[in-house]
Amino acid sequence: MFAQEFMRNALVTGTFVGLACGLVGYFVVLRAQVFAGDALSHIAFTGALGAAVIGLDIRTGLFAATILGGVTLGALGERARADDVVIGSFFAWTLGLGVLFLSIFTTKSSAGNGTAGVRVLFGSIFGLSTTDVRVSVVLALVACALLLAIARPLLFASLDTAVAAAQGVPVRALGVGFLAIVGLVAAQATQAVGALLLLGLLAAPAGAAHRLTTSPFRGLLLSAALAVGSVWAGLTLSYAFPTLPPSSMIVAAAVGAYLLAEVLTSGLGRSGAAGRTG
Amino acid sequence: MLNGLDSLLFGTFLGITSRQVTVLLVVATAAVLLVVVAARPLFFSSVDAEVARAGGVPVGLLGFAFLLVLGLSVAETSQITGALLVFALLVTPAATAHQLTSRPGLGIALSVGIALAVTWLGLALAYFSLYPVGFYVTSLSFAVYVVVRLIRVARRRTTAFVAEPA
Repeated sequence: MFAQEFMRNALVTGTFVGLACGLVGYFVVLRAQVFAGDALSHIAFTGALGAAVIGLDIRTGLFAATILGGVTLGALGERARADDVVIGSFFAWTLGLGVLFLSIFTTKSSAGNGTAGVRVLFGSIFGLSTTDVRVSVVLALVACALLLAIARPLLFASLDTAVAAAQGVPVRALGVGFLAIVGLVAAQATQAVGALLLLGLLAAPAGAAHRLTTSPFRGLLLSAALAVGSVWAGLTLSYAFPTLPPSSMIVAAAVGAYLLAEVLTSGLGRSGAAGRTG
Repeated sequence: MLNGLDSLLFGTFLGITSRQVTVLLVVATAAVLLVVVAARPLFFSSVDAEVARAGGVPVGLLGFAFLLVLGLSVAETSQITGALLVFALLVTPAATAHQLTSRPGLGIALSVGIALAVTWLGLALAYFSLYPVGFYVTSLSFAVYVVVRLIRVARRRTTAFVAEPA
């Protein structure tokens, strides 16, 4: 399995994308911004196809759209916690725009590029070039570094916004900056699992980590480990059974981990008589 | 034009047979009837679940039935807008109506009116152009929402100005 170049590329990229998704996802879940992650995935689709229509590199459009989208969401929502209706309406519209681009793109280049839409929606981790790998690794590390740099104040601001603001933590700027990082990671994950499934990689490992531990440090580690583990499991499964697409296997592994965590914790809660709620 | 998978995800208005129209019509009528019949208790339990439960409204059953109707509506809507764009017809017009009025009856009428107008206009535009109907429907419904929201913000600002000197 490691002898194949496409498989090595997929594993290296997937590892770093998983790492970034796990770390960022932990805060996404903590801040109850899962819906924002979903919106960013739709913006990713539109950005990628918009770039394709005007003849730019798909990846450029992807990153520009998701980072801008993150900043916009942060600025729109009150106290940088964008509310559901704004995000929902906004992402429905961006997806509509994406459909327009898709239709322009497929009519314009009738020669064989009809799969662009499907590739963006469901990812193409087995089709990465060496340059793709290098870019993804560097960007994923940048995202992780940025997140860890703001992790402490962000944690404070997420847990108790009012007290953090009173202590002089720039709550609003942190919120906007955080969503920009989520945008960066969403663009990365789009390449690995596709725009439709990236939410799974962003939210499921983090959700499992939140069920298993309340300590933020251990939670972050666990979330990252589960995300990377899901990527590895998904890629291995897909390699062993070529009919199974890698993106859905990765997300299936992540969701499986979440379900397992859910069952384990509820089982523990029942057997251990200590009144653990939530 | 979009191919099979894309039209499932993003909607198409081509090739809906008259048989499908009948089915969609029946399902839509059933959904509307269910909502109308349950409207009063549903509204009660949405606004104040505790008091409604105390008043003998079967809150749990209503919630279940409502999700059932929601499922029907989503399936219906995806015929026009596609599975991915359901939000544009299901939520955005209702959110616009909530911005405009807090009265339930008027709100429902407005929500339905906006959704219908957006769909008809979207279909017409798609008919006269090359581009998919999903794009028009989402853009129109989002545009209405944004305009209403901006008007509200502007109005709140002017009233704030009036109120301040006093």
